[in-house]
Amino acid sequence: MSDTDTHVLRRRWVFGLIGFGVLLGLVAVAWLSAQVFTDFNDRRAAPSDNVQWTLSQVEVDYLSYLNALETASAAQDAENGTLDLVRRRFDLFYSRVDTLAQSRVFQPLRQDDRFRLPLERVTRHLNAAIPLIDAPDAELSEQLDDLKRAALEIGPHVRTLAVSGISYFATESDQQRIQTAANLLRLAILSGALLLTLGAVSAYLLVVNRRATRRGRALRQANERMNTILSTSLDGVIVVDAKGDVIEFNPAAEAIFGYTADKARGRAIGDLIVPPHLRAAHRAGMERMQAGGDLHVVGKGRVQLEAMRADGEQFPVELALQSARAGDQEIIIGFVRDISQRVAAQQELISTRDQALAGEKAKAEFLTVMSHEIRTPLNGLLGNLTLLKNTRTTREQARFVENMEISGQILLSHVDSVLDIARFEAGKLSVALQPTDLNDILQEIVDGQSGNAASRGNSISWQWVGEARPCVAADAQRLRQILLNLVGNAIKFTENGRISIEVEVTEPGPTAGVNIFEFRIIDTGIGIGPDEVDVIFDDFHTSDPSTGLGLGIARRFARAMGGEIGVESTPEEGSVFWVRLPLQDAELDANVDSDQSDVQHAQPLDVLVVEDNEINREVICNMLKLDGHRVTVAENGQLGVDAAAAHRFDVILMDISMPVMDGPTATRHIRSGGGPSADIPIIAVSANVLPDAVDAFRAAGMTAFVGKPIALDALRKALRAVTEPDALIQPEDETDHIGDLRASLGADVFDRLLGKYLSEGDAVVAQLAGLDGGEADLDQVAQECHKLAGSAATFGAMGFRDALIAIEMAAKSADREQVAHLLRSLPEEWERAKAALPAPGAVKG
Amino acid sequence: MRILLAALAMILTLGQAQAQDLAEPTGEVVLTITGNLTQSGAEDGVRFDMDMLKALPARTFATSTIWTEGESTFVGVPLSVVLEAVGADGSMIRATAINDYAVEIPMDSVTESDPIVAYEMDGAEMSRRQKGPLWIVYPYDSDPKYQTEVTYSRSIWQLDRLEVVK
Repeated sequence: MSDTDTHVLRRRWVFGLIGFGVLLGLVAVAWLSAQVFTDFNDRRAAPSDNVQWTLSQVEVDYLSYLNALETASAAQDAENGTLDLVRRRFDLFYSRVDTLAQSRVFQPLRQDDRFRLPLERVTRHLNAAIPLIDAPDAELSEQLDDLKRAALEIGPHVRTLAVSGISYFATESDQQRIQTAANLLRLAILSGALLLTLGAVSAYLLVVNRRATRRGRALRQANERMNTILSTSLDGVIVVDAKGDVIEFNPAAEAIFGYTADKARGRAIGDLIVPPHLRAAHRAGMERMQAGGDLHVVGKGRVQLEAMRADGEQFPVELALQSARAGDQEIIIGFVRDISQRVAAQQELISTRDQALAGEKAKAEFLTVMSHEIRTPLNGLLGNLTLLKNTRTTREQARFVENMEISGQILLSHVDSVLDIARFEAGKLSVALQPTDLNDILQEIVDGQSGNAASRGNSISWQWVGEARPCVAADAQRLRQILLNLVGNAIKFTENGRISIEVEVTEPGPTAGVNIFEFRIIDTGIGIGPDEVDVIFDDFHTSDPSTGLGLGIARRFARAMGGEIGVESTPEEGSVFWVRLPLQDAELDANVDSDQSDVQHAQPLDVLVVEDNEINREVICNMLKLDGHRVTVAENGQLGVDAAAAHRFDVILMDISMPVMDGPTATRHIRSGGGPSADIPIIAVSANVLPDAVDAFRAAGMTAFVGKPIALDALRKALRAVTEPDALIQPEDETDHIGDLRASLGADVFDRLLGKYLSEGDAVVAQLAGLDGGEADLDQVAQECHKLAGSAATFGAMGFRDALIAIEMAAKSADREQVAHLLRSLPEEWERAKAALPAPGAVKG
Repeated sequence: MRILLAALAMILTLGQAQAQDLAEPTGEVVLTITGNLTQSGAEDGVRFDMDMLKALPARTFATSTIWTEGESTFVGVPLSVVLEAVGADGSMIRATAINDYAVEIPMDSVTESDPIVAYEMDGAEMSRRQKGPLWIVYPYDSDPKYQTEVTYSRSIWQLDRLEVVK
């Protein structure tokens, strides 16, 4: 811009100077022409008469006078005519000389002595002659000779007069000619200079003109190029002026917006393509720009906006604005891209992702539910194994039972692992360190897997490499699971071979007392191809789908423990799976794995059990009595509060859902009642293990929590936790099972309670199934369902229990339709629950 | 007085117009006019003495000349009046001096008032020694057009003959 300005300015200066110079030249030429003209005029209109003639005539007049004198003197007294002629010739001569003496034409000449002196001499002669000439004829006649003599004397002077005069005027004329010639020369030079200047100006103009032509051609070409670019651009290009009126609208813009360029031109862009809800903002922006401010989006790259087509459809566009100056006008160029397809694709992608995430979540929920469903029957198996162990068995049978129990426990922890994965994915996995004897773990694994290994013709063994350092702080359960997964995997892919487990301290760890332990599971199996090595630890990746999550879990746990896991393998020769973990040295607590003896040493407690369900009440009482505790029972919350007010107990076990008064309310009463038991531990007993519910129990003043169905082990731990302040306070979730129950109660009591549960269930289900959902007494339905649900929970029939609770909830919210619907499927649920139970007396000592 | 003079001039003019035949000169002849003359009795030329010239309407002006010193007052008859008096009919007048110097004056250069055939300069008649007795004079100072060489050459002194050329 400023370059062009300077350029234009400079050119104006050049033209100005040239114009001024030419004007000056013209003025000079005019002046000189006038000068020359005046010179000629002077010569033409000189105030000189015919000077030369006058001067030459002097001599003629003189000679005429002399001639007349001679004629007269020769005539001697002849006629008078000769004297008159003398007089006339004298007068003419006199007159001529007088002119020379008087005329201002001869004024400069008279300054010259060569002229002045002869003139004076002649004049003197003439003046002297006048008296004689004017005298009478006689007198003149007498003096003729004297006159003649005198006249002859001045002859040379007259000649000098004429010659000097003529020579003077010739000189003057010469000077004048020289002067004129000089003026003419000057005029010629100046005219030449002027011509040269004009020639130079013409040349310059020619050059300028050529340059302008060239520039015009370049401009035209650039214009054509620009038009081609505009018309072939895939982006819409719209140019508007400062008022927002459309100047350009290229074919792509026509296609996007559905206006022809002719229709669009001259119209306000705001009315054309801005959707109504954005027009106010658009107008504000334009006004801001007109006031000298910036448009927010000008020069800011691409922005996403909504635009409107001719048919009113609104769609997303990507818009880039640039402002520019065209001449003295501010213009805005908009590049518009229709991105409706892209946005649609993005939204589809997002919804696909959301669906995938929902699928993931559903999978996690499914895993959780599945694990839950597997745990219950597994607990039954384990319970029965425990019972079997307590019966008379042969040594061999005892070993089988032991193996079965170990495998069962491993299976249980396997199911727990799946739960762990779900928690891990939710970021909730925690590593619980405790003193651990690696020898025990390894031996356990080898023992537990030896049957499995033998069934495929494999031998299995373990050993330390290097110094044995079995006592470490570790999450034994996780470590066991990692190793078990790897061993299980090795057995699965090895036939008639050997599985050996090696453990070695390979290097010191990052901090003192921590060492890197490497566990190697070496098999002689089919091995793994190199292309599979990298993916073998991914979830659900396996050459045999039944392996499932094993290796994926192993890797998760290894990483959670700060370690790493890997494999080296040669196909057809075998594999080495290795796990490297940093483990802290630890002193092994002699009692750590002997709960039994610990509890047996526990002091008897005075326990209040508040529970409305008869079967549950009896189960709990039996379990407590088994450990030597003294038990008082209350059948609902209110009775519990009364009992607590009358006596100081060591601990209270409090059911949550009860008639008359529920558990949390009773707890609050006890805590605030100021009675002798106001500050003792209160343990919540509930089937609801969700964290929110547990938090609510704590908020009501409960100290700890035991899940239903209640397990002896969990009960013991809970009691120990609340009565021994130093113990780890960690409410145990569902680890209970029917076998445990039977073991705790003894077979006779268990069978009696089971029979009672079965007859009660039959009666209630028959009664409920006979009800018409539309007329039934809903309160009674809710009560019956609640009571039976408690029993079902105790016997681990979770599905049945859930069905009963659903009916109870529906009845309480008076939703008769839902009650009727749920009641129809209840008998089926009951049959399934019964099928899952052992027949009474089926297992006898 | 002025009115009286005007009336007198008028009477003189009328008297002249009525005088069809030109008088014969009684004094010395100072000017002879020849050529194509239409005035009756002028076929063989007209001769004027000083009195006859002075009888014609006169014009007086003051001017400097290149031949005399200072400004002079000239009295004379406008040439046009002289030519009219003789019924001159031509395109050119040849004027000749005593010494036979001659110039040609085109008829259309002669205006009603200029030049005059002067017979008095500064209140006196002009002698032959003073370019007299008759001198064709233009009012040189009144107009630059009279300051040209042509005009100067036409200013013939010691005039004694005029010839009207067709």
